Amino acid sequence: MTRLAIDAAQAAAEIAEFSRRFAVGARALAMLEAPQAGCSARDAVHQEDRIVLYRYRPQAQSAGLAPLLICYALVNRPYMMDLQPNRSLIRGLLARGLDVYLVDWGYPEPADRFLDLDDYVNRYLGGCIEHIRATQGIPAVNLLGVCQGGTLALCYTALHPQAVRNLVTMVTPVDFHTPENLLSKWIRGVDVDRMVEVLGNIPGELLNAAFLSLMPLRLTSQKYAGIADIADDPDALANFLRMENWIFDSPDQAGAAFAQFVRWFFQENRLVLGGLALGGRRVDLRQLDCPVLNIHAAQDHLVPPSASLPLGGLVGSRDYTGFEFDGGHIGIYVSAKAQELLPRTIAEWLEKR
Amino acid sequence: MSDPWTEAQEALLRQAVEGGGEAVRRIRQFGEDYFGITQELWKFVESRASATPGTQRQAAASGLDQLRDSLREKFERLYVPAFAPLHGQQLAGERLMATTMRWQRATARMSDLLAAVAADAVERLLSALTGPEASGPPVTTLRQLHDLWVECGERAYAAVARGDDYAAAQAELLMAMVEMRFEQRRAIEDWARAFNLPTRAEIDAIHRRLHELARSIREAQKR
Repeated sequence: MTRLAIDAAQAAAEIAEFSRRFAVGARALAMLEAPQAGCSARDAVHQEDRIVLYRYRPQAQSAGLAPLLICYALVNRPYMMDLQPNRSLIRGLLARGLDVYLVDWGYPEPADRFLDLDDYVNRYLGGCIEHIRATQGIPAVNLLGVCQGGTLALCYTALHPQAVRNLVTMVTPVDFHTPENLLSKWIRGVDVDRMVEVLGNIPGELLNAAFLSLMPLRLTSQKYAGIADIADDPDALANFLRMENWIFDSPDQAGAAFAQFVRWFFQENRLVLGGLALGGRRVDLRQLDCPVLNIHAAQDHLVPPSASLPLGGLVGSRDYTGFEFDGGHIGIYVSAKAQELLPRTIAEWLEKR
Repeated sequence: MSDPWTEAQEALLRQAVEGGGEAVRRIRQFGEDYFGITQELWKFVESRASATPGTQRQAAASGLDQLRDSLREKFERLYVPAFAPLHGQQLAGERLMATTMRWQRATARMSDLLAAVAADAVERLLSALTGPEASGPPVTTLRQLHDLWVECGERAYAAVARGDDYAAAQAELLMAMVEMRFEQRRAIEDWARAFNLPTRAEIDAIHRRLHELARSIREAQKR
């Protein structure tokens, strides 16, 4: 008994047709313009070193809420939040009248290898929040941390609870030692201090290789074979190219910050087990007493739900809300269902607080 | 016409070459072995050229084994402990070689693991297509077969990638690469220093000082 029922003549025809469509798709891709980084109008309102704080121009009547600052991960670029007009969480938030800011961490240069997590959390993120508070004359902002940016936002909020009115975390790793966390398992045996001592900044290509090796066949062979399926669809090809551009637009990681993040979070799990300190001050999630909305993705292969979910039991806040998105780590930004669901969920949650 | 100093040197050299002595014997051995490596390589090429058709593959494998053993023996004999003015360069070369060998071993280990993944993926694919547990609709196109292969491959890979062996092999591969890179850079920087050129290490030291200085200024400004 076999399921294999491929006719030789049909297979030959299939190969010919696949080759033809793949060639058509490749030609069409070559004709496309290079994707832009982000699509919504915004202004740079504050800058320190390579870090730029952007404020998005309003697209609807103000909801009257405190400004929402988006803190994205250091790995990859934040324009994933604003990829194209019909795939933009930022546009969804603007459409609901929110005043949206975004921290752009930029591309670290070799001279930045000594920047550490204290610089990123207290100085850069803190500087952005201080700018918003000072220019708007408000005591606290709403903070939205995404992926690794969520971990940084948790640290900041625990250290400066008075400066954050509400905290939203999206696909944020908290417990780095859960069995499903493959990246954590792989990195635990690495002498990351030695690695940074030798390499300086960690090349973005190295991180990309690690991410691809989580699902090597799906993320390479299968994905690119799919070009033949969308060869006749210019919009799908443009979407594909934007995603590819984003996936491989990976900044190098400032050496010292990378070493601390790997050692303290991935290897020593200090956010859960304790012992984390930034700028000489202890980071204790029990000090985080503002309302928290924690959004995780049910099929997340990078930050599995088990890594995000423990947050509820760790923060001091008595106003904690968990929200599960039915999708993966990338789908939570760009899938069709996320475009309406997530901005609505975030905006409605903020409106009640 | 030679001067007395030159004559004395020539006499010494003649005496050394003709008279033997342990040091001279080793130097001669070194020379013979050094040229012996080239001879071995040439012997291998000659033997391949005369190999009879039909047995070339086995002959080549056997020849390569012999060549490897012969070279290893000669390289081992070539080894002398580091001493004299160039001992630093010799040590650097040994370190670079050692880290390169470590990286090669780590690469080979990873290749073994991935070869096992590929073999398991094939087993899974065959089982999904023809085994007693094969279920689902018939596979009628190459694309469906490719998708099934990807699914089997990912399952086989996940089974290995979640294991301690794979994590250890991957960490070792990364650290071996790091150490090899370190020795490569050190060798390059040694040359750069010899020509009084700036090095990455010097620039890093300046950046570190600038970073610390900037931090001190910020803290002073806060006070």
